[in-house]
Amino acid sequence: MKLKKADIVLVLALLLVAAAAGIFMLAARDAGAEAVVVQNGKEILRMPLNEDTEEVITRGEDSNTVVIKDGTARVTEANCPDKVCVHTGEIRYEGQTIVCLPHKLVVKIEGGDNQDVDAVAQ
Amino acid sequence: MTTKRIARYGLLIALALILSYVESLLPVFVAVPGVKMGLPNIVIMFALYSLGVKDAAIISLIRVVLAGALFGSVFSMLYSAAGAVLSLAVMAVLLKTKRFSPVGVSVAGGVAHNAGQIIVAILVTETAQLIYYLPVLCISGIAAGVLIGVVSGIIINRLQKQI
Ligand SMILES: [Zn+2]
Repeated sequence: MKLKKADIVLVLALLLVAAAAGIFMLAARDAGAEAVVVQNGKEILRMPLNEDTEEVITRGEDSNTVVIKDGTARVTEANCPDKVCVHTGEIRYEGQTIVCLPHKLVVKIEGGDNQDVDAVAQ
Repeated sequence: MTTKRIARYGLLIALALILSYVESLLPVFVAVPGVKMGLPNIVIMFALYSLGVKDAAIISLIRVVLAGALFGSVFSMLYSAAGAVLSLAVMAVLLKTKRFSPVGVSVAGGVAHNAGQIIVAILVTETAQLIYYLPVLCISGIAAGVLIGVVSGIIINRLQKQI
């Protein structure tokens, strides 16, 4: 089986798009201020990143433990089948997320510089 | 529907299901929602090349429903259906242009599969930020697509005349 020219063009184009998007995201990222826990599309709670805490989020049988430590958020324990949320590890930058699809749960980092400005304005 | 066609369907669906099962046993090595190797896509690629788009679509659909019922949940069925539909559509278009080898077709399918899954994940969790996973999904889709494409290409060449 031989590769065709179009195959190579396609792979290179996709790699280029991925790399460009990746570099843009790395360059544009800001340290976040708080971790927002959203389940089933509804905001459950907000955890400031500058305070070490631990919360167990439960919904029916579903449970995820969210830990804030040293300015980062992570899911340390979960009873979901795939454990993707636990394997994601720490997040700390604005826009980063930890997702637990089976539990429809998302932990996202919000509030960098912009919200600090808002806080001062208040 | 001829007996031969039913037998062919049964064989390919069984194969795709076995590959789905094998995949469900593999540990999640990328901590990104929606990333999969796409082993069943070997069967879908073969069906696409040797039987045509319609048969590949039917086999893919039955595979998604059965695999979801057997090894997953309603939600995992929804994610894989989105991935399967998008990936098959893209692969069918690329195949029709006749400008791509099985590797190119399968790479596009792999990336489209991951994109479809992340779109459903964004809708279900109502979290637009998941779009940040796109670069990783793109790279992993390419890697899986090359692997699946090479394997499918060999199988298509060897078996096309025998089924
Ligand atoms: Zn989880």
